[in-house]
Amino acid sequence: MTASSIDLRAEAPKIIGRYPSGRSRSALLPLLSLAQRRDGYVTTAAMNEIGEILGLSGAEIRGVASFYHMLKLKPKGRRVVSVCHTIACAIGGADRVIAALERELGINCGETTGDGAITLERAECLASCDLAPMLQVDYDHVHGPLTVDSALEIIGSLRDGSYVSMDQPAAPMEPGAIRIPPVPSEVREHAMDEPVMIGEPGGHSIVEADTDSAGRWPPEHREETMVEPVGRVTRPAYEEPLLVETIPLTEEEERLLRSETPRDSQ
Amino acid sequence: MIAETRIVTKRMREFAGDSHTIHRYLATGGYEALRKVITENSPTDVVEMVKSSGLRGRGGAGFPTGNKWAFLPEGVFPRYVVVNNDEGEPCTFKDREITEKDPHSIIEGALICAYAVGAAAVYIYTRGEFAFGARRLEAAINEAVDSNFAGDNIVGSEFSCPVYVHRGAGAYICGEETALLESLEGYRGQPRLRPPFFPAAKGLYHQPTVVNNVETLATLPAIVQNGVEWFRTMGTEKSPGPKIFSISGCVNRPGNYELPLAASASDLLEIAGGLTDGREFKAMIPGGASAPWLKTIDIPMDFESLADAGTMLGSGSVVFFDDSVCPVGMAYNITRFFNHESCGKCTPCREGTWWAVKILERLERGEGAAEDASTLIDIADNMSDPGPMYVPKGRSFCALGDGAAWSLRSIIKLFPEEFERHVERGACPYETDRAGAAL
Repeated sequence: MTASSIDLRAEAPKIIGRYPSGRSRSALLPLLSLAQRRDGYVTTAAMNEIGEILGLSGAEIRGVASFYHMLKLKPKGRRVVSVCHTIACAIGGADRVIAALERELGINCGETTGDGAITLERAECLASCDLAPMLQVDYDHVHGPLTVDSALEIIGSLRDGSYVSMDQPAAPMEPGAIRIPPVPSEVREHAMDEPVMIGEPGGHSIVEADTDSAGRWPPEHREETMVEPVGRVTRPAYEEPLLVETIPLTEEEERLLRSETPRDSQ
Repeated sequence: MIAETRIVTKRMREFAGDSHTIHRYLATGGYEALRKVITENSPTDVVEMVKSSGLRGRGGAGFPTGNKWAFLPEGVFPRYVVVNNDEGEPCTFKDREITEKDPHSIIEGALICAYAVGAAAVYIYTRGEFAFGARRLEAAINEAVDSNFAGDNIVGSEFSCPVYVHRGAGAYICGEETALLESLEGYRGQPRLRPPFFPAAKGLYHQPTVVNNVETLATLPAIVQNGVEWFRTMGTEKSPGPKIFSISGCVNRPGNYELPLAASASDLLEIAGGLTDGREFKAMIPGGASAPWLKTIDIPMDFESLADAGTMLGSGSVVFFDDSVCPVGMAYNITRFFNHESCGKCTPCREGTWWAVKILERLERGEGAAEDASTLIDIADNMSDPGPMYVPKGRSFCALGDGAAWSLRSIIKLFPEEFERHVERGACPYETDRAGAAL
């Protein structure tokens, strides 16, 4: 069934039928996943529709949907690229791959490219540590062990439409192959205000000096590569908005931002 | 040269390519065990057999499987078998391979369990990111139903049991058995209070339920076909049988390797191709992200030996770290994982992991303070009382908080000088690439 042909009300009885009678709520997560496949993300309309099917309130549905990482409650890119950054993948150089992908796409993790093609995100362990570092496309196709170049190739093929996924288990490592050249662990005697170089020994550095230590470009540089200008972006450390929205500030908001008066007294 | 055991991994290693098909499954003795128990054994026989085999759960807790089955209260129906295929423990990837390459072994094992406990249905809760694995499982279930090995009147008997795949949607906590059941029922994946909600007593839909790990169930056909004595020739008395070890980290050939329990960690390192050339061993994680680290590889990998050493076998996922890995960076990495995956229900875990991540982030950035290490220990002690593991702590609501505390405490206790060095130098002394914490 193609995405556009998904009919939740027609599919629902088949799904509900897998569970004992009176337990139709078990169909909630499968229906949410179907809705996301149909609409690209979990829309409020879909949540209300599922609520009608299952006899639950929209709030109840949203409460469940908001818990699960793979369910996106805001528009996401046509392709989701998840790069694992946990233990083994980190050791294999995941942060280097992520920095390169962020630079190539002109977005930070958690964001979507302006043309809506690709959402890039960091992921926790995707149970593919034999292929570290790895990434997953659409929570389905696993690619690893990656190098920065092979990761960029995958992104390139996603963008130009030449991406082909193999319906096979991801291949295990060739015996003796080394994924990323070992990095010497010399203790850095120099002070912290020198630029952080993350790169192959003796090779060119992937991340150049005017990025911050995580390899992120400052906003004004990114505007050159982004399709749409960045509006108001608020990014507290662990919150990653899925879409960089261009939202101009209202006059009231401008006033509040610029005023010195604490909010409580207004 | 250490030889890999080929029991649970036999089919997938010898027939890479079609090991997932029923054609290959039947040609290699598949579904013989299921046929045998249905036609020759009573359900109670099967429970007794699994009990005397000493098989222990392969998902992390290591609970004796037969005992778990025997806990189901008599006369209470319907009952369910739920397969825990939400493999989320970092550095564990054995269940993924079994799902993708030998899905029929999971189906057969689950149905042997269903027959033994009189279950009305089997639900295979599969993590959402195993999209490919779920497709293979669905195809295998269809093949099995078409050949009367699942669904109605299995092998022509009166025993009927449907098997369904239920896909998750990205939540590590749904690997915790009570949170899994919540998720299966259509709720947020938050754990339940035990007592009263031990799955055996009040599980799926509050009915008696067996929740077993994929590998645990996939081991059952071999036990049925070869017998309990055969099973006990491997491993130790309290940790018998083979185990699939997921080996990763700074090794040349990461992968799933099956060996008898109580194989030495040094054997595991050798079979995975040894450390990356030119590097020296620094530490290892013996059993998943929650397990306290060890500074030795000279230890047998079984439940008791590791528990005596103050750590745990857990899911048997082994990570080897060499001298290029920054322990502070890795502590940040692991605590960040637990913080992301915390369900948010209880304050000690939700706030404790958050606060610990902030401190570790500061330390890696070189803005650490001398008291940070002891603050982290305080935080860990509020998430989980120090002392023997596996004893209910009464702080975090479930073992996720405990796991975060165990791991963090062990790293600080093993590498206090590393934390001091970060503070003294005002920087991480390691090349960030291998530390896993390029902030």
